[in-house]
Amino acid sequence: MGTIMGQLALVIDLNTCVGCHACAVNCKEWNTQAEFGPLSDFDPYGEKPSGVWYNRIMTYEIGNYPHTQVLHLPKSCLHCQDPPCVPVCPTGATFKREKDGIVLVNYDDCIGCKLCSWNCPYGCREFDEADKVMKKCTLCIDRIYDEALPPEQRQPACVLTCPAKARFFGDIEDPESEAYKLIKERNGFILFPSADTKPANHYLPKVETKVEVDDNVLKPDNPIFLEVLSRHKGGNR
Amino acid sequence: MEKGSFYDKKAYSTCYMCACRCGIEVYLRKGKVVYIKGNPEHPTNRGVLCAKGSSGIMKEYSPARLRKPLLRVGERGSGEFKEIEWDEAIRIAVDWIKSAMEKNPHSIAFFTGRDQMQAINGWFAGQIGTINWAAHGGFCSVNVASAGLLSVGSSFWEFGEADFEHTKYFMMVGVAEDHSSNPLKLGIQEMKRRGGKFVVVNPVRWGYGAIADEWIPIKPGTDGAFFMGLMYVLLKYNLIDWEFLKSFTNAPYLVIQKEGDPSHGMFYRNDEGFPLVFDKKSNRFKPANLIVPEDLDPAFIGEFETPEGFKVRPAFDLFAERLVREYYPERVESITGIKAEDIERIGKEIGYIALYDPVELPIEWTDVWGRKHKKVIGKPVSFHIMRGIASHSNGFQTARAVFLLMMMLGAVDTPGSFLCKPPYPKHIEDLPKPAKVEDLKEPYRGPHLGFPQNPDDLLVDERGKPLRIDWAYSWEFPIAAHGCIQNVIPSAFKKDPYPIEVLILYMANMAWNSSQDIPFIIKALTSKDPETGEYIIPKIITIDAFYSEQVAYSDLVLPDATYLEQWFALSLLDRPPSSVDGPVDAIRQPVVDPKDNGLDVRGWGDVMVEIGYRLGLPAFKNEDGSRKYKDFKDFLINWQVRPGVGALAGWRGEKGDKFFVGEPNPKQLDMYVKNGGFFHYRLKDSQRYYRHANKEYLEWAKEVGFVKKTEPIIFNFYLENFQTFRLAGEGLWKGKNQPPEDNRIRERLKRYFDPLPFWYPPFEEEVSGDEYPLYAFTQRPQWMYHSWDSQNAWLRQISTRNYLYMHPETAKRFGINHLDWVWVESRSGKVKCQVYLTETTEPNSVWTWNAIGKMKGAWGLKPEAEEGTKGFLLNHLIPHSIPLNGKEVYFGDPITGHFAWFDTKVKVYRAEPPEETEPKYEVKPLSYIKERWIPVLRYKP
Amino acid sequence: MHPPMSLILFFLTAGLSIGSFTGIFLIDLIKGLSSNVILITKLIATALIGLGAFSASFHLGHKMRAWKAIKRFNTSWLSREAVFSGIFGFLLFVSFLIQLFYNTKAYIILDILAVITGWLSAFSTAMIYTSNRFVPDWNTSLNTLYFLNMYGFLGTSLASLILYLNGNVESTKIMLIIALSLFIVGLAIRVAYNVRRYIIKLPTLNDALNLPQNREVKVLDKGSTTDNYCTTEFYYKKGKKLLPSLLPPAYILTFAVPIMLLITCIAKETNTSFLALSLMSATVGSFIERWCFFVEGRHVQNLYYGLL
Repeated sequence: MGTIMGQLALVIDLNTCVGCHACAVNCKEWNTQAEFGPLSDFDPYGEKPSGVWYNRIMTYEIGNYPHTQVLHLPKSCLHCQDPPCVPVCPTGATFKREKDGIVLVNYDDCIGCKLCSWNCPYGCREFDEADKVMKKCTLCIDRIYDEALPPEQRQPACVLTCPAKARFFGDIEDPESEAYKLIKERNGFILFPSADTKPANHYLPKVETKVEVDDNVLKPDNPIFLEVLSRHKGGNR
Repeated sequence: MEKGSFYDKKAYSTCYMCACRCGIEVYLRKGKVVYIKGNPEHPTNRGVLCAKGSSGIMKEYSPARLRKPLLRVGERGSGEFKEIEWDEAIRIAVDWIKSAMEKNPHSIAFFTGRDQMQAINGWFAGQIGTINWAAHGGFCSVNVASAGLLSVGSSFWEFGEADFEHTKYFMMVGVAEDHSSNPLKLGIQEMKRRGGKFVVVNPVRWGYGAIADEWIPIKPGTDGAFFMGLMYVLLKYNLIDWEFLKSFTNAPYLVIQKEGDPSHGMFYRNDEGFPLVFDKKSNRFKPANLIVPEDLDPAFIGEFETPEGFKVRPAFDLFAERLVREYYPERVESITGIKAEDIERIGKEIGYIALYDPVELPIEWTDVWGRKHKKVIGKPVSFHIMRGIASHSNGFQTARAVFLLMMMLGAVDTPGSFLCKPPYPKHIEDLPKPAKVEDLKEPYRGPHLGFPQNPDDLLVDERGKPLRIDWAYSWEFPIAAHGCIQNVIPSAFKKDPYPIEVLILYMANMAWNSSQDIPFIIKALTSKDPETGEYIIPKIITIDAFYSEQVAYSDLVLPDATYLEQWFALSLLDRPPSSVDGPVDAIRQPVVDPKDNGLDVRGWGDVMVEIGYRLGLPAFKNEDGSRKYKDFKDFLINWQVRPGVGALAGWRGEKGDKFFVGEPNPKQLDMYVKNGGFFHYRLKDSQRYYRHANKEYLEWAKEVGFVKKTEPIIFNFYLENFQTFRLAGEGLWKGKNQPPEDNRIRERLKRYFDPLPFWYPPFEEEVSGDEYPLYAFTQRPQWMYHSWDSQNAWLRQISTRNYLYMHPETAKRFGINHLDWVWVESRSGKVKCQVYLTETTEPNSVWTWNAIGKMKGAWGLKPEAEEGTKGFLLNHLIPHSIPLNGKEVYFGDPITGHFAWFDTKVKVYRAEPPEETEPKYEVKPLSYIKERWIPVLRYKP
Repeated sequence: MHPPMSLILFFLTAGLSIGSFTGIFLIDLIKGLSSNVILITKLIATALIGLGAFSASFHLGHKMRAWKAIKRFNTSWLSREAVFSGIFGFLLFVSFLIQLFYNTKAYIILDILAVITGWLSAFSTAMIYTSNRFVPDWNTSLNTLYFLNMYGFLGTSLASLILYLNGNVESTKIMLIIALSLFIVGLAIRVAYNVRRYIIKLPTLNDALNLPQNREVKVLDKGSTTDNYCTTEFYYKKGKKLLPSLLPPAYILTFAVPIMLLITCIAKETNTSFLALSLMSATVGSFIERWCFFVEGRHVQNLYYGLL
């Protein structure tokens, strides 16, 4: 990707996401040891463990039984194109990269005022009480530009690990990218449009497949069935 | 072991956070694991890795890890141990085993729960000479595995799976997403992307259910009726692949109709013993093996009179009669709660797709009869079933119904349907049988497990009493093909059939989530003989890497190494990790030295080799008496189950140029390491389908020892062998073994050993009745299930505790509100827990996630951890036995003994404060575990 | 929202500081005051703003980097607040020194600038909250007005006391009238704010998930059975429970008590204890009231957790 000005983002396919938390845990695993780590965990073996995660999965039920639908929603920083967290940061620690649109936190400049998180409608920034700085998804900036990795591995950890292949990564402004095409072809949508933040991450809606049976080829009066019926009167019809 | 930007070492291995055996890349920095990711080259997971696998680091460095062998000093369950050296630990183990062996080797019970080296452990049990070995299949999936193997020579999970590459309709029934998780997820998304339809039949919609195109909420335990209903629809609309039934199944075989005669229900055979069919072309009886060669037109329907003067009917005809009499959609609706019109519609959908929308692949192949085919035609309808179906007392026959449904659709080992994973399919008649003995006077060398073909293969004494401690292959559970681990502790406690001296448990948490009726199990583990003051189960040796509940209730604990610390083989002899396009086996290799973390632990394999040698077992010594295997690595390389066949199939032969069969290769493991940790043999396209009758495949399979012959594998639409058990129940079996004069047992055999599937209500319906109106069962949290030490620092942040999920209308009926604390009570016990109301649950069901509730103080968690206070274990209230016709019988399927834990019925009512789970159990954490409770974890080596 | 005590303390001290200095400055402008009163006020106001800044620094993860907060002046209200309050304090202190040591009225210019920056700082503080679209309760000019007015009534209450203690009876009266008006206006704004809170339509979970409104959506699983940053920072469970018992004392102490005391002082007789009591009541009341302001603040991210 290198020099292109664009907007990197995740495109998450809710038509295949089964809510397994693989992306969240692999994200945690990658990022705690990498450039922006560690991701602290508090009282990890106690009553109320809590830690810093860049990505969390929530599950919703929609509608009433028996027509209930279930929606799994993996949610990490959406790298908004109009990120409300950026202007409120008093130090400039939170910024949006012009080169690729990634919203980052420079830990050295972060004073830990939490204002950026207050100005995120998505709840996608988490304060690390141990480091006293705000942390968030970096789109694995330490993977995607690591030239020591083979090119196909230069992707966010969550994308590589997703067992439902529900996560795509790319430049959503580049008409040639898979991410762009998926959004266009599959009616990609954003979370909370009324928040007016132009989130870069998109979601692909569930599509319900139906089977059309050609009733003309079916034979309800098939002789075998009728023979069985007539021999064994216990059956109806 | 290359270096990279963020690591200084990289190694390939196989995950063990659950049962899937995904290929992993393990990255290390400064000797610590920094990242585990899926291996993109591995056929199982193709680079992806689930939440469990991704948290492997937290398991590796878990505070629950044992650091040295433990010898109990306090009472069982007190958590009071002293640490001893390995030398002493092994000496004690050897002493105990040896003295038991000298008296009676069968007084040693060796049960290996979450075992991925069953072939080796079973073999080791045979070396000790005990009949009492099995793994955990008795409560896991034996119903599905055995129904499949006996029907089509294959089954789901390790044996086969849907052809996601081509399927157009995938139906997943019951709790099933865990076997196997990543491949299923990969497959379902692949199918959905192609526009296939995904149907979930489950009382609960969650997990995979979210992306189902249709959710069919079903009343628990009624799936069998649903499948029968679907087959009714197929029959009604003639949506049946007759050609498939005719060529590959025994559906047209003629069944003798002579009530009261020993031949009744058996196939009508000619003098050479070939089953006969009625050929409509010639109007004559013809041997079934001529159907294809002579292009017969066998009758599927009708009744025929034989020259000998009795009536015979095609197996299919018997089944068709059953369908029209009992399984018309309206009746199925009344059983399952699924609307008749939906049953009819779904039946039409699957039949229509299979027959009128087939897949055609331009692949030439030759069948066993020598017919060449220009293309492969597939029936793109597929199913997946596992625990949800299996864990009912009608699980075997329900699973059988699924396989019959697949046969009727012609959807077995064809593109787009179900595909076998080599070494499957197998000839059903060649499946192993448990080694036969009449009594326990001699050591038992195995094989321990298999499929009895008739009552004479049962392991019972002359009075009809079981020979195995777990009652496997008894008259109660004749086809207990995986053993019945769940019955071991109750039986040993009741000394029925006999007492046990040494109980050895490997990776089996029998004191907690792998047993049921925990209050009873704890009593069994801690009760003493009032006369001797000895524990009734005198010696318990546990092999485990973590401070589990079972460890706390053991006498000697041999601390295991983790999956990142030992050599291991995922063997084709075992539960093969194969894929549908060819056999796969794999290794684990030590990438971390536990000593670096201050842990003096050893992999069970190494310990087994040491114990075997010190016991003086011949298999562990050379002819000159010297030690045969240095350690487990050496064992994996050189051990041969038969000449040329060892634990691993890849790179055999002295030069590593032979596969499957070849002499041991001293560099074999290095070659696995070099090849990403696995061996994958890809079949040629022409060998990939219709393998039950694929000439090229069967010839190759015979060559590599997967099958014994190249004849077609004929599927059992009708399970003739089962009729022999039925005849035994009627007193008509002419063999040596006769059931006891106990009407209860005889009725059981007569009713349930039906050679054709049928549905009957779960036993609990009759016993619990309306007093306990709801079914209670567990579903499996995708981020934890199967995961030993699942409460690790990361995964437990997703769920420290579980809820009881319930439909709002059901809750209203019982005056329960959202988040109320309630008692859930079955006829055998009760548990206190908190309710969560959801419309994703069928109204007759309550359920929870399994394996989250822990005993306070266990698993390296602080005593106040929610796992032990708000989390709960449903197992407490699941009965371990059931009163049937006045006698307590183990709570299992009457055919396989499969634990019927999903049969459990309960009532639910509001509970008084405090808001904490009950019954309460607690163990003391080991002192060094307490020291590991850091306030903040910042993992970044 | 989880109420940050250090910030609430800052509001109070900044309010007292900016408000009182402004009050004294204005009275001095109109009626002329003794140098002592002004000096004392400047000293108190400087101390208060200093205390406020010190207190606010406890809200920060990294105090030592607080100076970096000037970097985003052109976009961040927090940055502006830091800059203006800093300048205010600095000007006040310098003005105090000049007035103390030099016999010149030149400090007046500094005082004017101090008043301006003080109120810019107050305005910036208010705008930190008012500009936050994701706490709709705060996202109204009523919030700005309230903040400014609160600074006013806290400051004039303090100024009244200073004036009274220095024997400026007449000026005290004027100050008291201003203070009383500000309390009454404050109550009115708070009531209006509450009415608005009650009638505004908050976004729904359907909005947050971008799903059609016609189907009921419920949280089935939060993805974490224990709390995390998002469920504690944006939703203060304990506080929500305490709200009903804390709101009445907040209003009584902030408005009812001072209004009654001030009316008494204006209509009948002024005395130190009444003024001190009124100031204390308003300060303590505002502390509770601002605590409630946070706890009442409904952040839209809570929708995802079913907490709104």
